[in-house]
Amino acid sequence: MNKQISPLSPAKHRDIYIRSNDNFLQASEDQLIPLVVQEVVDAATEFPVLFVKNSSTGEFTLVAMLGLKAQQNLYCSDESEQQYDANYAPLVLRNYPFYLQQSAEQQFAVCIDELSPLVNHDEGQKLFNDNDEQTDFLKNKAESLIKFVEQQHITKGFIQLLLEHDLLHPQKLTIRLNDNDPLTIDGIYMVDQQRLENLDDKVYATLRKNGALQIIHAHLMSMKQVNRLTRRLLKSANK
Amino acid sequence: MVRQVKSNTRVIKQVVVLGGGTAGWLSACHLAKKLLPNHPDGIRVMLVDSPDIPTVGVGEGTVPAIRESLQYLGISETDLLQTCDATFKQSIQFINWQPPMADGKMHSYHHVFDYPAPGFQQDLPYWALGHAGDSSFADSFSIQSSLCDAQLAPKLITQPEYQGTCNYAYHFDAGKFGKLLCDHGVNKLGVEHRQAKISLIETDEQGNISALVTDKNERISGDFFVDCSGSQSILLGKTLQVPFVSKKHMLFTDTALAVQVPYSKPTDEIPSCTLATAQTAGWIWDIGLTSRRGVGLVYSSAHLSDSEAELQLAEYLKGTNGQRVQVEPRKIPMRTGYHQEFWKNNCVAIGLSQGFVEPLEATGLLLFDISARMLAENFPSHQELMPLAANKFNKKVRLAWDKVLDFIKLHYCISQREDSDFWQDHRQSSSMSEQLAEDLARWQWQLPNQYDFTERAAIFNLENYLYVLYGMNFKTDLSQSAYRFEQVNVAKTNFQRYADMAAQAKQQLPGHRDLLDRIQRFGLQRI
Ligand SMILES: Cc1cc2nc3c(=O)[nH]c(=O)nc-3n(C[C@H](O)[C@H](O)[C@H](O)COP(=O)(O)OP(=O)(O)OC[C@H]3O[C@@H](n4cnc5c(N)ncnc54)[C@H](O)[C@@H]3O)c2cc1C
Repeated sequence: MNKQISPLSPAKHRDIYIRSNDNFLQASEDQLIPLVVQEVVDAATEFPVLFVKNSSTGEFTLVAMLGLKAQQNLYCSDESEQQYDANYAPLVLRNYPFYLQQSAEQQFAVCIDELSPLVNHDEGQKLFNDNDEQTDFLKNKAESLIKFVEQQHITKGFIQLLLEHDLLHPQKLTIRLNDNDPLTIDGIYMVDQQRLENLDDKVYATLRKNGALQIIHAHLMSMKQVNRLTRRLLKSANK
Repeated sequence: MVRQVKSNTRVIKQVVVLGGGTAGWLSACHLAKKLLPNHPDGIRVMLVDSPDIPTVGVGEGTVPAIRESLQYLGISETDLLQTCDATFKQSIQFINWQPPMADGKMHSYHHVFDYPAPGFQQDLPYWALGHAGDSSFADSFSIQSSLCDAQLAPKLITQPEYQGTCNYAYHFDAGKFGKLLCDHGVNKLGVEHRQAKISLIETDEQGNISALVTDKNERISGDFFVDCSGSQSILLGKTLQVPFVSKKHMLFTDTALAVQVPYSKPTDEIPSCTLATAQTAGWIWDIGLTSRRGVGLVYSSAHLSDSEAELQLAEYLKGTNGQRVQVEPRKIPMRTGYHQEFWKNNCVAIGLSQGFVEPLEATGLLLFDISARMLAENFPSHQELMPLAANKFNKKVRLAWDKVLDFIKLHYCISQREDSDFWQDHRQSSSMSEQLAEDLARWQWQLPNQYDFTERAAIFNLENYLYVLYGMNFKTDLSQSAYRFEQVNVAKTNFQRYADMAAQAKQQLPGHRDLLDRIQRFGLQRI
């Protein structure tokens, strides 16, 4: 999808409305949706939550897997024409079409994707009132975007902690669909349970105290959700 | 500068490395890695160098074995790439090592680091019989030379440290690399670093070295000494008087002129290979680091005067930089050959103190990395074992040197350049080892194969020979056995497969400088 991301200003965006986002179609070709640690426990009730490398920086990112192959998203799809029906919707999906961008002066500015189908002229929420002041809707959005940046920062720290203790390892996922050739998914990283168990007591205690352990367990359990994705795929194929 | 003292039987508790160039620090790291100075029962490893005596300051090209060594020593590839101005090296591109081609173009070929896939030897005769058409040997059996020509990196940013799509080594700033090894050796491996100028060597009556004495008359005693003092060879050569075996009759170059050249702009592409361009009496290395280029002319002073050499280097720089660079080249004398023994009594020489061969295949670091590791892994537990360990070490290291010398010689003696005595003299059979002369005679009628490379210490194998021989258009005439090779289509499919794979890899791999920039910002992951 083409995007045109511009900083919000009353002059330019006084008259637009934002429709509510019912099926997150903006992500219909995204297999992997970035997560922050604060949402892992919720996301894990629906999706496999795992780690991948960013293809342009090589850095690890925490993601939810919403499809079984590149460019497949089994939740935000066009075809189903139905409302998004998962237990949880990741923050990145909900923030759309808003973004926070950092300017050269280190100032944060709220931006919008002007090409988003959610942007329109008669339906949904306004961004500015008649006095050119931000509406409560926009204020809330801005607040959650700023909070999201902090959460991303904490997420980076969490990943750093895993790497420091050598807890991540590459994992190949093999999925059997009917009688077809097994599908393998590469480039996935998980916490190594053996290494977790072998951590020295002091490190383990720190992980427990700072909440990392709960996230690790949610991540490990969530791998079972691959079955949910497989069922979903088969269901949509049989329709 | 020799003083005699009484000998007494000693257990080996203290190793002293003299010299803090690349050889010294690499040796100290290898020894400490095995001898565990921080362990209560470990052997202490001390390195002594003098801030007043500079290191040789060149030595910027490596071979892929360096990766395994760095990883083994526990050095992070990200640190290397971020702190040593390092770049990736996938090949050496040899330019003008043959006369210009029929169409007037310069002759050029790659000695790439990827070995052909296992089983490639079945396709080799078909290549020699011309079934790959115009496709060069390197292009018919690997994808890497086209990647070099496109100035691509050998790996993706998502690949872990020390792993890549293609095999690779590095170019780096020798001084900064020494510093990296020093920090690692001292902080991680427990090497003790002492800065002092050594002015006297103390030996006992059995000819063992017992101590180094500083110019302030402090005594640094040890049970075992590693001579990394550079070309002076203070311990092995000067003190223990081990004779030097010159190999100048094989390889005539004896002088280098080295310069550091800035890029014309910071976005200039960086080749992911070393360029080695032949000249009338030697050749020029051209190595791209992230911050600058390192360029140098290696030549035979018997065939070229110093002023002519300076002119040649200046011409080259002008031709490759678009402008004349005002830099004073540094003149470095070189002495080709090695000491008759590398390990004598309680002293081992590693680095330039061991010997020297021109840096055509960047074997300097390789040879002393191998010898340092061999020493560390066979380190004698007590004095009585020393002569046995020494015997084995000397044999192995000498074989490695001889093999390297032969391989370097190969580059010269199969050239058809006629433009100077230098090149013609290189084809005199008296300038070749018997082994090499014999092999070359046979290879005119028979393809080289694994039986020619049975010694395990050989650093350059069948594959390396093939890249150079056939890169140089060496002719092996198989017409008499052509009838044995009927699977032409199978071979052709395999040749095509390399072309397809190369096209695919070109789509995936990032530009060399682009990847280096990104590694500078984000580093590489360990997994
Ligand atoms: C022109 C040229 C190009 C080369 N290119 C390559 C290449 O591309 N790739 C490669 O692998 N190799 C190359 N080499 C070889 C490589 O440079 C050397 O093998 C490498 O630098 C090792 O040098 P070294 O540590 O043995 O000696 P040096 O760097 O000379 O170090 C000697 C050390 O001994 C110390 N020392 C000396 N005397 C005393 C004393 N009296 N008291 C205390 N300390 C003392 C000095 O302080 C110094 O630390 C090249 C060499 C030359 C000449």
